[in-house]
Amino acid sequence: MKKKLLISLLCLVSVKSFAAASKIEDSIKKLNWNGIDVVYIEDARFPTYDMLLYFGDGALSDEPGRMGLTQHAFNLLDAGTPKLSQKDILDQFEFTGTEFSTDITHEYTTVAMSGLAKDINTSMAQACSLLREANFPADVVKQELDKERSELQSLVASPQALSDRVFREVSMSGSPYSYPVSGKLKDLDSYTPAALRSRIDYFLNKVKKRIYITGPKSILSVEKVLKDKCQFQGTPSDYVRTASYKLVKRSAPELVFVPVPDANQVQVKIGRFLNYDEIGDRRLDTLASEFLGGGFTSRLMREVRVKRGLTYSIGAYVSSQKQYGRSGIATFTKNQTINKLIEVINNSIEKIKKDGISDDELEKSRGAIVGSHPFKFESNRAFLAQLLYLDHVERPYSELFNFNEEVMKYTAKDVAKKIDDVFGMNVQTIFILGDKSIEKELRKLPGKLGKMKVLDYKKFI
Amino acid sequence: MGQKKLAKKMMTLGLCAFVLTGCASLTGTTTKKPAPIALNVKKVVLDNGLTVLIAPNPKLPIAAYYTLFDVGGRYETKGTTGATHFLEHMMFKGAKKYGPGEFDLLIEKNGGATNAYTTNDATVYYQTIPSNFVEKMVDLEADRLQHLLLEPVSFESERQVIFEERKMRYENSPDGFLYLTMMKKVFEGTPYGQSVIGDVEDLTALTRDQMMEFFKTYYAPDNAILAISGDVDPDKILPVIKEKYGAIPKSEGLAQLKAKRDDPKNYESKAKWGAEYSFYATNPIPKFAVAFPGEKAGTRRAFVLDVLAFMLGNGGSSYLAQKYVRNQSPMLTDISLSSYNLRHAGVFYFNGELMEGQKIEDVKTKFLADMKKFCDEGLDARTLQKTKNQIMSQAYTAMKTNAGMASTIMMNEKIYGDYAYGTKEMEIYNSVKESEVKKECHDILVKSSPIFLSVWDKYPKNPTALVESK
Repeated sequence: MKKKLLISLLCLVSVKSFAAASKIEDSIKKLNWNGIDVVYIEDARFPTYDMLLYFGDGALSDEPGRMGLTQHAFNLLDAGTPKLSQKDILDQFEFTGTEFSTDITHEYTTVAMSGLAKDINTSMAQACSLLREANFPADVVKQELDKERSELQSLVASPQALSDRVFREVSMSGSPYSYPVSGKLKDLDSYTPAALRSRIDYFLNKVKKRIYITGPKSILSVEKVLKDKCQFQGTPSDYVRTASYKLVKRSAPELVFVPVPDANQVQVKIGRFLNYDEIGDRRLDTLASEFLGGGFTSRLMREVRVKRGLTYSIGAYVSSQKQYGRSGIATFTKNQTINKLIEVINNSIEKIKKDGISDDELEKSRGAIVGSHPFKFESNRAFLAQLLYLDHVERPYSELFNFNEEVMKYTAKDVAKKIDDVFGMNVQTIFILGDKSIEKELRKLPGKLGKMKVLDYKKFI
Repeated sequence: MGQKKLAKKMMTLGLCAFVLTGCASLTGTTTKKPAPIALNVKKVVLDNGLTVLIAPNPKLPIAAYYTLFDVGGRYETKGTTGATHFLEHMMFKGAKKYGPGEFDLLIEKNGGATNAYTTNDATVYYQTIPSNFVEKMVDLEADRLQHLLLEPVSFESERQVIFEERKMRYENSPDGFLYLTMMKKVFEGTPYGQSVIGDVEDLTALTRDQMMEFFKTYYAPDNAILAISGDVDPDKILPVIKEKYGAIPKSEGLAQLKAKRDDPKNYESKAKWGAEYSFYATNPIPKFAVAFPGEKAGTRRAFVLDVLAFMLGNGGSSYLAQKYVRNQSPMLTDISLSSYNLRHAGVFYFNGELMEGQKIEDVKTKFLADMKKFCDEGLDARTLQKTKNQIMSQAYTAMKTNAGMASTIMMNEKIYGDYAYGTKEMEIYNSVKESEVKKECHDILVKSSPIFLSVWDKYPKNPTALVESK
């Protein structure tokens, strides 16, 4: 019976709108390995495993002058150890088809591994030796950073990636979260082998860790590896990052133009920073962004693409971590229609404020997110990531399992108000990246969208 | 439709639906026999030729619904490039029973998602939906297959959308532009040399009548495969499928038309092997492609070339990565190697980006001179075993979702006429020998001449200033 635990769990998830929430939560096993909390979901369908190792700190721990150090320390774990070269390390993982990756946010860090269940102990031992023994050989670090410099110089040829990077920093300015997790070109010289090693030691010895794992029961043998080889140990005093910051308040929109050479398409992003006191209700955030810019039937998709053919895609999002969030609308259009696009987006949002949304429209958006909810459980990695996220933001797992019932409580008025609160154009950063030649046209945009500021993209890489 | 991809690689290793039970240990290099995971698939061919595959999976109340039409860019004639992809967009713009906007709306309001992609060889529509919506999905798909509107107003607005898609994927993307250009040069004079997204002039000139003719010719049950994976009972859904699709007529004369279009003579490339092409793009650091004649899908040689590409170029520990990217004096920031096997031909190609400060001429000279070393130094028994392990790992990943399962059985049915061909595929991969890979490596990289293409913002902007040599 236990072999079918996940299957049973997933079936339970699907039945009667997640009514059997308590049983589902019971199916998630909580273990403790040497003082470290472990979340385990058994899945015997395939002889594979997925694992996430969580650290309760992230890029916010980087110090001025060495911003981006945390990401580089984790990303360069495979640079070498006293016993193994970078090639040896990569080859060991790749030989068994093991995926090893790291992800750093401002608030927390994850190391992810997946592969065949029979290889978990070998692969974990390899990962542990990196965490414990990586010595970041200077020549390898230099070569990797040179590569990164070269790639950053090329970013101008990837308008979408460049606009993502610049927009994030500009729209979040004034908050502790605006500086890129990856640092900038000017930071790269500061990443010495000693600094990188010290960063990993800090995470290993001071920061709170949690483990999320799924696969056949046999993979639980990895506990011994984590204890003996990794020497993972948890204590109540392990550190979890918290930030204190002055609320970021905007009273007017800002219009930002970033010129790039020879672009015949304009990247547009509209969004803002969300303070910790604005991110309380993630389910309503999801519903609002679904209505405004989710899928092919959202309000913006209808207005911008279907009715007018102004773009190929447009989407809206509200995302949040424990202490902050972001909102955004992302799209693009041809040079000749940039002002029209801004006008249509602006009018669409103002219309929601003025006229609200109908119950039919609400029903469509609610149906979309409720109906798609079971898909969140199809991939083991995604399932684990959701549990990790809920733990990080200190919310109960029941939020995942009673999601549908909670979503049904919101009214059309709630959603319209949320859209106005989050996406109201009077406090947005309206960000445009495109060919220099469009500047003249942009200056014709209504003054109520903000006075235009022209920024050089090079300052952001 | 929205985020449709012009998928480059439909017929690649990701299609493997079956896996090995074990692989070699870190120190060993032995190969175990593949043991297939039994597939539970019900296959039915309707009287009108529609092939239906149902793979029940009751684990969640969800399903994936895939429909393949055996028409891609290769069936477009001169002056109508992009018609297949344009039609794919228009398939979401309303039919007789479910009018404009209703298709997307019904799917999304029930929690589903829908999209499609077009390649040189096929057009694929796919949905992920709650399982209680599968019956409605059958009705929606059957409606647009029979009664597509091609409504004139949306026809024009969608044309503009495609121009924006074209800019996003190719005109404003050096990588996309390089790929598009490589395909044109490698398959010059053949249907594969025409761009799937379409040339701007052709897209501008394409009429609704031309598209309707194209639709009537190729969108027929005897030219389609339907695959459903998820929480569905074949005994319950098959009668619904028969009811909704069963009356749709075959396409008269399609077999003859396809035979004519698929005449091997049409695929004899007029490529100028050994030529070099340079184009302006916005990247401040040069990118390049080196393309060799490849192999069509389904042959043993195609499998061997897959293995060769994996062995030389997959992962940070691969020979190419170590030689050019991860060393004390790297020439490149990125290098990859692909074997793209289409229905009637193939291309085997490298992609790379220079390290800042490197010169494209120097890199080209060194790279081309190194080809023999690739075969002599980069291929050994351990790397072969590593490749087989990686293929196995990828095969598991492909099976884990309903979408992966539906896509896999559908493509195997199309390419091999056997939805369960994955077993044989894995046997073939597992049987590939080191000597075989080395031979193919020499044949393709040493004995044949490549086309070398590069893009850079220092090249002349005017397309007519194309530098072409040899």
